[in-house]
Amino acid sequence: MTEEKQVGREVRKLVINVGPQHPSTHGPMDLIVTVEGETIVDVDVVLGYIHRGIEKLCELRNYFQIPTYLNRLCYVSGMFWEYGFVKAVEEIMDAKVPERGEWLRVIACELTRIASHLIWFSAFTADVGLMTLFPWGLRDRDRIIDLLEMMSGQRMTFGYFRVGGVRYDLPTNFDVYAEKAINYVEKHLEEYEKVIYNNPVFLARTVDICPVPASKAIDLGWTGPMLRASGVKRDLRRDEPYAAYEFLDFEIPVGKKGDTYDRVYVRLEEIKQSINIVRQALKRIPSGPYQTRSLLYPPPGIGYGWVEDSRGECGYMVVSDGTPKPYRVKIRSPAYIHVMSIPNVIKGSKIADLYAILGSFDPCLGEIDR
Amino acid sequence: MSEQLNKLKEILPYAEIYKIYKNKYYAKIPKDKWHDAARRLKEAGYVLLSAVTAVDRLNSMEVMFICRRLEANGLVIVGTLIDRNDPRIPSLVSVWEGAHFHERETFDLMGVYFEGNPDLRRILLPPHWVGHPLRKDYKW
Amino acid sequence: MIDSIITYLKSNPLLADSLRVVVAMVFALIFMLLNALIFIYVERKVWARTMQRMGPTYVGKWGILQLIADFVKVLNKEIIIPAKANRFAFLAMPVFITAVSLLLIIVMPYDYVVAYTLLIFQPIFPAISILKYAVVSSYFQYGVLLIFVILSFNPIFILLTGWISNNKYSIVGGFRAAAQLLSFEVPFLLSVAAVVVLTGSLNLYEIVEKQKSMWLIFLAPLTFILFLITAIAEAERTPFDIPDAESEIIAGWNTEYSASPFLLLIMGMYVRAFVSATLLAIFFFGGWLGPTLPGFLAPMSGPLWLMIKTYFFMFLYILIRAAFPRYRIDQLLSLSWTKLLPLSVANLLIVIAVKYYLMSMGLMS
Repeated sequence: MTEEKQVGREVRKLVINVGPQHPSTHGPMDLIVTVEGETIVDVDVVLGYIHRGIEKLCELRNYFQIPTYLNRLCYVSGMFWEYGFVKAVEEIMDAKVPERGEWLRVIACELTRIASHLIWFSAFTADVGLMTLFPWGLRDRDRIIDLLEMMSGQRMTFGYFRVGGVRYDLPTNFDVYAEKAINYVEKHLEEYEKVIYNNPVFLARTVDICPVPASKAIDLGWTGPMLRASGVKRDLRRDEPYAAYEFLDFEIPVGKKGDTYDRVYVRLEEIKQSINIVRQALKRIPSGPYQTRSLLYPPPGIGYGWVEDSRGECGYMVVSDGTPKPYRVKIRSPAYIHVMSIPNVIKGSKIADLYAILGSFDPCLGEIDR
Repeated sequence: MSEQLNKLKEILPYAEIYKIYKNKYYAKIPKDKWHDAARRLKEAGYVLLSAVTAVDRLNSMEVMFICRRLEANGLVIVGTLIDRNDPRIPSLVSVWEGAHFHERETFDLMGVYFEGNPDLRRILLPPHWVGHPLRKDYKW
Repeated sequence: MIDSIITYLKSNPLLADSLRVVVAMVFALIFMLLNALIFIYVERKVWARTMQRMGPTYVGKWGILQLIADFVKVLNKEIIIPAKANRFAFLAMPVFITAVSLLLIIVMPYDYVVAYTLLIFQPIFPAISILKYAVVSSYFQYGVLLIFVILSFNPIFILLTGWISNNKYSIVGGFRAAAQLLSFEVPFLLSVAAVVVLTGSLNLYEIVEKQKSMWLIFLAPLTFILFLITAIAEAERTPFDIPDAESEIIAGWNTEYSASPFLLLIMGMYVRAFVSATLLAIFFFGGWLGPTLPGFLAPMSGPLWLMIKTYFFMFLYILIRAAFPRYRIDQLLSLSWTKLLPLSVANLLIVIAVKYYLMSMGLMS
C-alpha cells in the first residue's frame, strides 16, 4: 500500500539548512530540516563546529590548569562548569571544604544562574521576534556580571573555584552592591512578566508549542529546567543537596505541559528563586576560612561530580590514576542532550516554531561541542 | 547509607559493587549482562540516564553508563570491560531513548560500536575523520 | 517674465500639463525619499529608546546624519549576485519593486504638501505662487482605486524576488509574503470600501473634504481598527513581518540582496509603510484639516496637519513593532480569514446602514 502514490496529494519535501550561520541557532550549529509545506517531518542535528577537544586537553593538563579550560565550556555559566570538575576531584580525594567556601560557592552559582537565565531570556524573546526585550535582558545581566567580577576578578571566564574552596573571599561591602543589583534585576523581572504574559502574540507563539510529556523527558535524559517544565519536580539542589543548599529555603517551580510557555515560565521563576537564595546566603554566610590546603592531585579512583547547572545536570566523570594529570575526564553536557533530542520531540511542529522551540531549549554551543 | 548498596546488590546480583563516594556506587558487571543490567536498573527506579561513556584502559576498553534515581538520591556507574581492538557492546537505545546521543558521542571519540543503535555516525568530528581521538594511542 | 511664461503655457495646455506632472513628481519623489529616511531615523531612535539603548549618536547632532552615512556606506558595498540566480532578473526586481512603490506618490497628496509648504515664501518670491498649479494628485478621480491597484502588484513582485534569488529561505519568504499579502488584501479592500461608502468618493481630496464636519474615526471606529491592522500587515511590519523575519528565515525574500539593490528594497518597504500611515491620516483623521496657522504660515497649515497625523501613525507603527513578537504564518492566515474577513464584511454592512440613516436624516449627502 505504501508504494502507491496518493495522486494529487503528494507534497514535495523541502530540505532547509538552518545554520551553521543563522541568527537563531545561538552559535555554529546546523539543523538539516526536512519540511512538507510548513510542517517539519525530520531534523538532523549537525554539531561539532566548535569542538575543541576539551576532554583530550584535560588529559594533558594537571589538575590546577584544567578549570581554566572548563569555564570556557559555556561562557554564560562558567562557574558551574568549574564547580562540577572541582566537585569530582574533591570526591576522589575526599577533600573538606570550609563552611564559608561552600556558601561562597552557592552565591557564585546562583548569581551565574541569574545571568545565564537572563541572557537566555533575551535570546529567546529575539527568537520569537520580540526584539525589544533583547537589550533589556543584557542590561540586567550586566549588573550580575559586575557582581561576579567583584567576586572573581573576571567577567566571564572566572577561574573562581579551586579544589578545597574558592579562590577569593568576598570583597568588602559586597552585600551592599549585591542587594542593589539584585533589586534592580527583580524590579525589571516584573516588567518582563508584564510584557510577555499579557501579550497575546507571545502566548500564541508559546502556549502548546512542542509539548513534551514527563515520561518522554525522563526517557530522553532531560534534566534541569527542561525536565521541570514537563512537570517533574526534580532539582539536584534540593534532592541531593550539595554545598550549602540544604540550609537554604527555596521553591522549585514546575510547569504543567512541558510546552514552550512552561519552559519560559520555569526559567523566569528560577531567576526569582535564585535571587531569593542569594539574599538568604548573603545574610547567613558564616565567617571563617574560605579555602583549605588540599592535595596536589587525587589518589587513584573515579569520581562523578555534578551540579545543577542553569541548563540541567552538568556532570564530570573524572578517572584518576594517581598521577598529576587525570586519566580521563568525561563531560556530561545537559544542553548536548537537549539539543540532540530535538529530532525526537519536534516532528509535526511548524517550521516557524523551530526557532522558538530551539530557543526554549537553551542551547549553548560551547558546552555542546566541548 | 547502605540501604542503596543492598538494593543495588539485589538488582544486580552478578555485579561487584564498590562505593565511590557517599551515595555513589560503581558496579562492575560482566560484558554479556550489559543490556540486562540497564533494563533491571531502569525497572528498579534508576530511570534517568546521565551518560554512556568509555575509558581506554590500554589493554581493554571500559564502557560505562551512569544512571540515577528520580525520587531518591543515589547514582550508580555501571562499567564493563570489552575487547579494545574490536569494541562491540549492545546498544541501550531500547532501554533509554536518550542513550542514542551518548552512544554516538562515544562512538565518535572512542570508537566503541554500539550494536543496535539506529544511527551510529560521527557527531562532534566531521564524517571523514580518521581515528578516535580520546583513545590513548591516538596520534595527532 | 513670469506672466509671459504663464500666458504661453495657457496657450499650450498639453505642455503645461506635462510640466505640472513632472514638477509634482519631482517634488513628491524628493519629499517621499526624505521622509523615508526620516522614518528610518525616527524608528531607529525610538526603538532604541524602548530597548534602553541610545540609538545613533555619533554622526551629526543626535546622530541625525547617521542615515546619510549608512546610505553612502551601502552604496559603496559590493553587489553580490548568487551564482545560480538569474543576473538580469535579480538586479531588475528591486528596481521594479521600488518603482511600483514610488508610483504611489502620484496619487498621494505629497505634491500638495511640498507646494503649499513652499508657498509660505510667497511674500518674498511672488513667482512661487505658480506652484499652486503643480498640485496634480487632486485630479485623480479614482485615486483610492489606483492606490490599491498599485499595492496589489506587491505580492507578485515579492514572490518573484524570492524565487529569482534561488535560495530556500528566500522562496519560503516569498511564498509567505504572497500568502500573507493576498489574504490581507480582502479585509483591507473591504475596510477601504467602507470608507468609500461613507464618503461617497474615490478621490482622496473629496474624502478629506467630506470629513470637515466630523472625522471618520468617530463615525466608523471599527473600520479604523480593521484598516490599521490590515495596513500594518500590508506594510509587512511587526507583528506581521513574517515574510522578512530576520531571526527566522533571515530576512526572507531579500536574504540574498546586498548593497544598492538592498537599499532599493528597503526604500520600497518604507515607502509603503509611509504611504499607509498617510492613508490612515487621510481616511480617518481628516487629512490636512485643522486650525489655520496665523500670518504668513497660513498656506502651510494643511501640510503641517497632514504630516503631524502621518507621523503620529508612524510612531504608532514603531511602538507596535517594539511591543509585539511575530505571529506564525498559519496563525496569521487564520486571523485574516476567520476573524478579520467576517468582521470587515459585517463592518461594511454596518457602515451602509449608518450611511443610509445619516442620508435619511439629511446629515450627509
